[in-house]
Amino acid sequence: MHISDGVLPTQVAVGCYVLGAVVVAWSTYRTRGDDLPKVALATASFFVASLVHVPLGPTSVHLLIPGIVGVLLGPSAFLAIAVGLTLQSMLFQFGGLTALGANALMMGIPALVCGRLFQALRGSSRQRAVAAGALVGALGVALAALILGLLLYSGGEDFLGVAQLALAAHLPVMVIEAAVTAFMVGFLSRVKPELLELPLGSGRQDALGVKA
Amino acid sequence: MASRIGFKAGGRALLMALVAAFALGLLGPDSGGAQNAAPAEPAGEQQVSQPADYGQVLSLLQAQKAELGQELRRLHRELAAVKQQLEEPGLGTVFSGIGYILGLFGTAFFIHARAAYQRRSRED
Repeated sequence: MHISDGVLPTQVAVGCYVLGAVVVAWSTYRTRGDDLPKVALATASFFVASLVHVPLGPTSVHLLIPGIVGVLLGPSAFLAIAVGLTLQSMLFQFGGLTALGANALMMGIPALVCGRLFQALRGSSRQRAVAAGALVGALGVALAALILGLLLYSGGEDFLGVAQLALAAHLPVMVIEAAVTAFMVGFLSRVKPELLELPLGSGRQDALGVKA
Repeated sequence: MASRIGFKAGGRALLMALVAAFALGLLGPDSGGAQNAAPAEPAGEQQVSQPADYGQVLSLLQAQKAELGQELRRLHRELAAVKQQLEEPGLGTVFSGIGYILGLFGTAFFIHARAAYQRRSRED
């Protein structure tokens, strides 16, 4: 699910760039320095996940994992996704460079929503956290499909048609990502629950509690 | 006798002239000359055996077209497969991307850690 060059009208592409840059700046501001290795890991996972193809009839769709990135990184997810998408578009030619802002919004906003929703829903028990993980794993892909529909609608496409097509094509991906996210949340909450805790506040604070 | 021979000779010449005229008359109106006689002749032949030959040629051409179409479709499929293979990033590209990510965040983390270390040593 990538938007290529020349699909969106220029105003929309530029607007998405501006909005994307603002959100990247906010996301970078919210990223704690001590979390950078975790952000790098999630970025690398996001970067590589697009190469995992799920065969679907004559074509194939690939994993998107905005849900997982959002759960792991919270506010930093947008930064991770923007970096991952930039490298994907430059190295893999996935999506165009002019549509990078739109692609970042399409994948990053669901990640932010998923991270927020997961923190709200996870509760204290592990079962509940796993269920919340499964929900946001599927929701991330669904939201990305909806935003794709909205963006292409600005280019003159039929919103409902595109959104339905994207949702239908990514149903297997939603199922897989729900399972993967649920498994990951279950595993991490047993082994290293602090990875699922997200920083509060501005984030410009290191592990020693020293404000920058 | 001489006149009879002469008549005979004259008759033969007349006959030959008639044959020649007939031959020329047959070819003349179409071709208008000896130069164009050759191309005109096959046309005449084709006209004579037109229905059977056209049918054959048509079926041959159709068979050839179907064969070529199949070949072309096969080539198109192969081309699409090759294109897809070319578009698929190789292992080297994947690792270079991971390297970029680790390098970028590694540098950021280094700067952050150095700043934190300097702050700490100032405070101590």
